[in-house]
Amino acid sequence: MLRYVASRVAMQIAVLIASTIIIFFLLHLAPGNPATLLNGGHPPSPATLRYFNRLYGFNRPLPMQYLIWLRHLVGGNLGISVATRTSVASVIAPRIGLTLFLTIFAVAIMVVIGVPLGVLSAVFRSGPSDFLASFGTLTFTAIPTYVTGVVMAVVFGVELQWFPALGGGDTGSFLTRLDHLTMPAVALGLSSLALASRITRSAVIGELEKPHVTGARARGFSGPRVVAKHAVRGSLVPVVTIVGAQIGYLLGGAVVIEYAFGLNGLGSLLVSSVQGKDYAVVQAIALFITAEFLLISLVVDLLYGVIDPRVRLVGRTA
Amino acid sequence: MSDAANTTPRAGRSLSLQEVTTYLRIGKELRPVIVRVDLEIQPGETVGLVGESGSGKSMTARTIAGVLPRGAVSEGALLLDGENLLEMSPRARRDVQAREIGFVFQDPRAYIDPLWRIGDHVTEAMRVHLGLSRAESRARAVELLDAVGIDQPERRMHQFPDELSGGMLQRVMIAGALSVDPSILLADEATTAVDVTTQAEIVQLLARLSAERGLSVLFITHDLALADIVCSRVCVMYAGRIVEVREGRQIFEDPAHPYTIDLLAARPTIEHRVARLPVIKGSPASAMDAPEGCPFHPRCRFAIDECLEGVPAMVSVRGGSARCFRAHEDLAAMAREQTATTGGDDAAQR
Amino acid sequence: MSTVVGDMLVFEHETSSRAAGGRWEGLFQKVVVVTSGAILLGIVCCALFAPWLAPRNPNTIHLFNPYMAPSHGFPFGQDSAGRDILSRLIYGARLSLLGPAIVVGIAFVAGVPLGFLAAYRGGWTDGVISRVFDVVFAFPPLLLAVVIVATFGASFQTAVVAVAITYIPLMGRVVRSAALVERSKPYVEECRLQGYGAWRVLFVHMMPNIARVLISQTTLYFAYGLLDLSALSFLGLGAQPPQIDWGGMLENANQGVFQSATGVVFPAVAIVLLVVSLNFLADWALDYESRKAGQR
Repeated sequence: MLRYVASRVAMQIAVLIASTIIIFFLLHLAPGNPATLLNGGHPPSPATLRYFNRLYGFNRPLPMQYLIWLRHLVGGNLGISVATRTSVASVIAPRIGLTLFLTIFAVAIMVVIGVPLGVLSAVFRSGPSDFLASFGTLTFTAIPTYVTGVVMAVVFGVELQWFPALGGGDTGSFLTRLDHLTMPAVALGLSSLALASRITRSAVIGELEKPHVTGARARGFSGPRVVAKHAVRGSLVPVVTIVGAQIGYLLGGAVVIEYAFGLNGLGSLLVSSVQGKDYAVVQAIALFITAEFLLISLVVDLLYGVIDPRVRLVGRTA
Repeated sequence: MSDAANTTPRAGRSLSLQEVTTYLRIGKELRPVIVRVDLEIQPGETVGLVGESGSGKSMTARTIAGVLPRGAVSEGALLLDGENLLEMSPRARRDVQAREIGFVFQDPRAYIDPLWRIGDHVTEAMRVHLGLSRAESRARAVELLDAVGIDQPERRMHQFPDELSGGMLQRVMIAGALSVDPSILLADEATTAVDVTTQAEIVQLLARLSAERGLSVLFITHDLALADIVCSRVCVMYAGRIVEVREGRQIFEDPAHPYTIDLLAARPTIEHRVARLPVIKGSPASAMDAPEGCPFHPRCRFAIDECLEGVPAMVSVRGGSARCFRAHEDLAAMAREQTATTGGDDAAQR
Repeated sequence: MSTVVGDMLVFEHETSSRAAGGRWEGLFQKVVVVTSGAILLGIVCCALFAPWLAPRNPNTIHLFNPYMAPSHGFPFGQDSAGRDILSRLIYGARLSLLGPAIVVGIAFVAGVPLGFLAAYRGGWTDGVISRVFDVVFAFPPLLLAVVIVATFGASFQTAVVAVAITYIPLMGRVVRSAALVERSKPYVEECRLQGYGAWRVLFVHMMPNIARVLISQTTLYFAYGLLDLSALSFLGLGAQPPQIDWGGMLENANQGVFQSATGVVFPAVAIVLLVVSLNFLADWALDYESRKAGQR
């Protein structure tokens, strides 16, 4: 088991490093001078240029620049934000909370509602409802998150006034946050929920058809026990895979939802930074979200080892 | 190999099927897979159920155990010591099934949950149905694994099915089936997936366990010779119906039904040469596509006009019964003469 | 961690149809498929025949009438600059179809050979290609697209290329899986024994078997590509004015949602109809192919 964990961790670190290289190189692939790009699209003044050279070593060879940049990164120095003229870290830090809350909320909606829904629909399947179920979930998978978001904002926020239409409840308590972020989280998580429940359903149906489930029934265990202990366990691998994949889409979709609902999270900052050509902030946010995603992928990988012990046993024989 | 858990054979229970018919739901229709099956297993007896694929032997076992596919329907009486299982509420039936009926399947690797450890698999039924604690059930499990001939039982408890060979897994499945101390054991092709040496071991294991625990066993196989080793009585099945039932070795020495005769003739044996191994022409029918009249008549060399008109009833014949209009004639002898005249010249030339 | 939604959907479809005995039988289902096809056709016609179908010039500004509800001269209302939403909707079909088409084209042209190469050659080639895919998978897809657009400037072209980059490994991964399955089949070994070259093996023999998966994948990626591209447009990072696409229209309408909610409805419905139709058609195509294969 330990060997498995170690190998997965090493793998993810390697991928993390590779992604930092890519983000680093994007800056240099861009048309124009990297210093210009970092300066908000304006050619830098001599003083600013000297500052950049000292900070990033633009006059040094490329691999060296990467190492310097990396060292700054690890030390917490993410550069200067052109828009606010303060450190990028100080601009990003206060917004992390909201984005994390939103994302976790959406993931919770997907998993806590979507997966059990899938299991139930697998257990209670019958001809006509099967098509209706896939019709429904197919439709919801297809609706873009921002459409759901905008529609919900109009219907529930403006017309029905059930939820506040704008803002992230930043200054309020946990409950205020919850109140403000419910609509965005639902909008964000809805299509992922539909997809997750479809995949769960088919995975569980696949397991229920397997002989070892018949074996469990032959041993006289009750229906719920057979489903819960023997069918669901085997179906978890595709389910966990799809949940992990969807978290990736959610992380990206959060950007759009924040923008649509006017929330003060990392996502809306990302968009405004792109529009305002504040490249250092863009870089930093990209790194942060990617690292977050890789961490989640690592957790998912480790979960595989827990769910399906055969994965760990590769190479061992009786 | 000691068996400390249960040395006193307890009074077994009898199982009786009376006119049991099972239908499977195919598309929108119900199609029969076994038709009006009568079967008796006395306490402590081992009865063989022999047939080819499609004969309905597995479906008979599944009907007894209550693990039919969705939408399947069973009619008739399924009596366990007189109680009709088919008339019980699903809940009550499941309780009885859980504690009284053990099932050993053909392919252990497919029928044991690959994600569960061996120990968890064997102890599950004990904990759920008998209410034993973890420690108690684990202790019994180790004894059971030992009793079925698995070496290093404590170590095996922690392993996964992937780490065991097919033969060992089959023993694990038997241990699991016996864990609740059932009175009936259904062994559905329990030896088919393992090699010949292991087959003999498993069959002997079943015989020993049955004697020690007073188990009634229904031994299902397509191999008549295997059934001979361990069964006190053998039933032959074809197209969903029982076509012959005989005691002891009579099914070999004196088969009455044409199908049984052909089955026996089709086996290669070292006792005498034949020019060509006789093959039953045609392919086995299942209950669903059986023709009108006797289901075997299209392939039967003794068929007469009467055979097309209706299904023969079971007639008692020489200590058993057979479902054939010509059961009273010595068809086996006629078959031997036929083989002698057609294959005799070839045999003489060798 | 590999994240292949496409693989999942194929697996999901197969299990589901086995359970229900085919999903696309029955009258209701047929109606759905035909409607989806009709919608798709209608949208394609809008794109092709826009100048003849649109009642007005989509870019004519009427600054004094922003965010008007549907009226006599403007059947779908007006947007923030008073432009006719109906005409913009019709013209918008062009980029809304062209964008995903290019995305899928690039993903196909780059992804299929890469995936096939990885499966066929195996070993080191497979290792390198799969690692590259893994690294691209490390980024949440939309995020990667946003960063690429940020680097190279917001425009229709950058957005399309950025999104295409996120789909190449998806397509490659699916092709690789399918090719690996085919590769272990006996007929491939026979081809190699006969001395056929790799490309011949691919196109003549393996492709027909992989085609089934590819067709539904391509349709799905078209749909998801549209979602991603219009998301970028919604953020202002896609097609820039005077270019028109539905995502941009939605963003425009979103700004004025308190004044007129109807401006949001039309582009939203257009996008949803197109994506849903594509989804149904892809599902049906998969079903049709597997039924044909089953009957063979």
